[in-house]
Amino acid sequence: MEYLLQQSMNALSLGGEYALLALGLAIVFSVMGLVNFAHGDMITFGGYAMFLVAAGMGIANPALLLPVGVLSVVLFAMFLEKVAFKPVRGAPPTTGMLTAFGVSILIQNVALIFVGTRAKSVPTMDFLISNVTIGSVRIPVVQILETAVTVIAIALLVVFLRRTTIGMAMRAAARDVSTVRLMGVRADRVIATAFAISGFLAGLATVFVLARRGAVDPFMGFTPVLKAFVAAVIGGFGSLPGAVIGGLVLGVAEVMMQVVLPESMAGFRDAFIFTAVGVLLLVRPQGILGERPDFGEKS
Amino acid sequence: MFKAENVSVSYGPIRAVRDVSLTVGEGEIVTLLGPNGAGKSSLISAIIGLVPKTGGRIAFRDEDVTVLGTEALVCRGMTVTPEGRRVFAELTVAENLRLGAATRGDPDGIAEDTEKFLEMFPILRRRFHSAAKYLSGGEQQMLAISRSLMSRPRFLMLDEPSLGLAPRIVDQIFEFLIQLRTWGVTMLVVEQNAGEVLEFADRAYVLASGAMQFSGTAEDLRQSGGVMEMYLGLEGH
Amino acid sequence: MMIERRALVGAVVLGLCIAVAGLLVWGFAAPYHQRLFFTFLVNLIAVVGLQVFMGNSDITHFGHVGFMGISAYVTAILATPVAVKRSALATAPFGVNTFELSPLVAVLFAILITLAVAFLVGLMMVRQAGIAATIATVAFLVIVHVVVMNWVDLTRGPRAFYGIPPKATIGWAVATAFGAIVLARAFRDSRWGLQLRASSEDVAAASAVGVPIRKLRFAAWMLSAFIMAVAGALFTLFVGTISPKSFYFDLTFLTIAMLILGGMHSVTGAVVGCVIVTAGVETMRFLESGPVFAGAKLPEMFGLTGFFLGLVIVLSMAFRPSGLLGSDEIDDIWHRRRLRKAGVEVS
Repeated sequence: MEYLLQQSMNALSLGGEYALLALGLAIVFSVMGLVNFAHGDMITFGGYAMFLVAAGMGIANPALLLPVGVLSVVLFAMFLEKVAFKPVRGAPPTTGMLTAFGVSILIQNVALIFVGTRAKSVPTMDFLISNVTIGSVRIPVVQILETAVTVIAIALLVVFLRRTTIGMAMRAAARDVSTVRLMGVRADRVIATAFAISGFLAGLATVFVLARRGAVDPFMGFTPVLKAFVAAVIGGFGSLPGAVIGGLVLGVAEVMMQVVLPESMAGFRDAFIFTAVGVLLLVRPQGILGERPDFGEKS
Repeated sequence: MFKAENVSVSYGPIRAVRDVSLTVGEGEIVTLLGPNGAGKSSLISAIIGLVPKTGGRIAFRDEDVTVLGTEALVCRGMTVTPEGRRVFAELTVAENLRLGAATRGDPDGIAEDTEKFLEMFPILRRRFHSAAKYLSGGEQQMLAISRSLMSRPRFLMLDEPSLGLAPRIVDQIFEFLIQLRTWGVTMLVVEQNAGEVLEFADRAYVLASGAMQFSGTAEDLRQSGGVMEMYLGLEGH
Repeated sequence: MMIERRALVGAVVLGLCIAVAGLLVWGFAAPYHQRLFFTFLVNLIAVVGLQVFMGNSDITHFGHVGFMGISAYVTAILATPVAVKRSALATAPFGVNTFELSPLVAVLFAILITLAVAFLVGLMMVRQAGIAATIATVAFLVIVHVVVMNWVDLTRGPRAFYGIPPKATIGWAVATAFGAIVLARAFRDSRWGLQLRASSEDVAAASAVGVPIRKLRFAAWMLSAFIMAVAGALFTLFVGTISPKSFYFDLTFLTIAMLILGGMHSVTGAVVGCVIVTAGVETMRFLESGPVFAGAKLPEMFGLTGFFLGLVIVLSMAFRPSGLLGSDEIDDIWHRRRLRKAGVEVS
C-alpha cells in the first residue's frame, strides 16, 4: 500500500512534468503550426539564467532563483518567436520544424562555446529536496509540489482559454487564423501569447528539472522534451487535453517500467517505452485524442 | 465613404483581380456580382488585408488605408463576413459573439449588443452555450453576421451570405440586411445570384475574369439584359 | 522514356565527378586527406540515402542514422576476428564470439537485419501524419542508441568496439557512392518516385486519383534504410573502431544540414550540400582547436562546428527553404541552359 502510494506519487509528478512541457508544445503548434524542437533548449536557457544569477550576482537565496528561472524562460520563448520563428510564419510545417531544429543546435552550441560542457551546479531550496512523512510513507516535497503546480497551472490555463478574449482567440486561431484577424485580433498578439504561455509552462518545468538534477549542462533540455514530444504524440499531436493525458500516461508507464524491469534491464527502459508507443500508434495512428489526419482540408 | 482604386491581386503569375475600382457611399447597399471564379472573394480579401494587393489604393472615411493590416481596418470600422460563414466551430455561440467584440472595451455595450442579436435570432439564445458546429447552415450565417456586427462596423462587407442556404433562410437574412441599413450600416454584398439582391441594393457592380464589366444603379443593371445574361446567367426583367 | 534516359545520364555524370575526385585523392593525397575523403564519401552516401526518403515523401526524417548504427554494429560483431572478440566480447550472447564471417558476408547480414528492423518500424511510420512520423523517427534513433549503449555483452556498450578488420578501400567507397546516386535518381525519376513527390504536394488529390501513398512511402523508407545500411557497414570496415556516439545526434545534425543546404528534393542538391558543408566543417574544426593565426593564438572554441551546422540550417530555412538547388537536378540545369541557348523562353 505504502509502496503503491509512493510509486503513484512518482508517476504523477513525472507525468506532470511531461504534461507541462507537452502542453507548451501543443499550444504553440495549435496556434501557428510550429513543431518547436527548441522547446528543450528553453529549459536549458532557464537553467543557465539561474546559474548566472546565482554565480554572477551572488544571489544564493534559492527562493529568488525560482522566479528568475520561470521569468527568463518566458522572455526567452518570446524572444525566440520574434527573431527565429517570425520569418518562417506561414511557411510549410517542415520549414518551421527544421528552423526550430536548427535553432536548437545553435543554442546548444552557444552554451558549449561560452559555458563549456561541464555541468554547473545551481543552488536549490533545501525544502524542495526534503521529504514529507505521512504515516509511514516518505514522499519528496518536490514531487508533491510538482503535482500541485501542474494541476494549478492546467486549471489556470483552462480558465484563461475559456474566459479571456485572447484565450478564446487562441482556441479559434487553432482552426482559422484569418477569421480571427477579421475580429480585429492581431495575429502577432495571439502568437506571442502562445509562446509566453508555452515559456511559462516550460519555466515551471525548469524549476523542477533543476531541483532533481541540481546542475545545468548544454543538453539538459533534450531528454525531458523528447519525452514531452512522445507524450504529445500519444495524446494526439496538437490537442491540449491530449497533451495532458499523454504526459500522465507516459509518466505512469515509466514508473511502471522502473518497478517491473529487473536491475540489469533498467537501462532499456526508454527503448521499451518508445517501442510500446510505436505499437500503440500502429493501432491508433492519431493518438488517444487526436483526429484522423485530415487529408488536406486545413484552410 | 469607401473607395477602392485600381486594385490588383496576383497569385504567382495568375492575376486574379486587375485594376478594379469601386466606391460605396455612406448608408448605401452596394452589390458586387459576378460568376464563380470572377475574383470577388480575392478582391474582398485584398480590401480587408488578408491577401496582399499588388497595386491600387484604398480609402475609408477620407483616410488612405491602403497599407493598413486587417486588424487596424477592423478597428477603424470595416469588416467582412467571410464566404462560407467561418464561424469558430469549436467555440460556443457566446464565445463567437464575444470574439466579434474583441476590439471593444465596453462590457455594458457588448452585453447590450449581444442581447440585441439574441432578440433578433432567438435560435442563437437557445444554442447560446453550445458549440457553433452544431448549428445549421442558416443559423451559422446568422451567427456569422451577428459576430461581424459585434465590432459595431460602419462598413460591412458580406461575402456570399446566401451561399448554400434554403430560399426561406436567404429571405430572412436579406430582410435582416435591409433592417441593418436603418441602423446606419453601409454594406457591400457580394453575390453570385443577382436576383434578390438587386431588389434592395442601391447600386451594383459586375466583376468577371478579374475585371469590372459593369457599374451602375441596380435598376440600370436590371434593365440591361445583355450584362445580366452574359455574366450572371439571368434573363433581364 | 526521354526523361528517364536524361536522369540516368545526369546520375552517371554526377557519379563520375565523385569517381574522378576519388582517383585524384587515391593517387596524390596524403593519408590524412584520404581518410577525410573516405568520411566524406560515407556522409555523401548517407545524405543520398536520407534524400530518398525525405526528398520524395516530404517527411522530415531524424532517424536515418539509427539504420547506419544497426548495420555498423552487426557488421562489427560478425566480421571481427574471434581472437579479438574472445577478450572484447567475453560474455557475448548467441555465441557470436565463437565465429567470424568474411567482411562481405557480414555486410550482407548487416543489411538484411537492418532491413528487417526498417520493415517493422516502417509499418508504423507510414500510417502517421507528417509530424508524428518525424517524432517517431527521433524516438527510433533514441531506441537504437539506448539498446546499443545498454546491451553491453553484445556491443561493449558505451566503450569503443575495436578490432574490426579495416577492409574497405576508397575504391569501394567510390563505387558505393556511385551506386547510391544512381539508385536515388532511378527512384526519384521512376513512376513511383514521381507519384510520391506529387502526393506529398497534394495528399487529397493524389489519393483521389488512386496513388497508393502508404505503399510508396514504405518503398522510399526501405530503399533509404538500405542505402543507410550500406553506409554504416562501409564506415565500420574503414575505421575499424566504432562507438555509439558515432551514430547519434552529431551525425544526424551533420547529414540533415548537408541535405537541407543542397536542397532535399534533389539528389544533385544532396551531393552539393555534402561538399559545401564538409568544407565548412573542416574549416570550423581547424578554428575550433585554437590555431595560431598571424602570430596570435586563437582561443579554443569547442562547439563551433555545431554552431556552424545550426546556422546553416536556420539560414537556409530563412532565405532559401528549398535549398540551393531547389528541385533541380544536374541534367535539369543543362537542359534549361540548352533551351535558353536555342532561344526558347524559360521561366
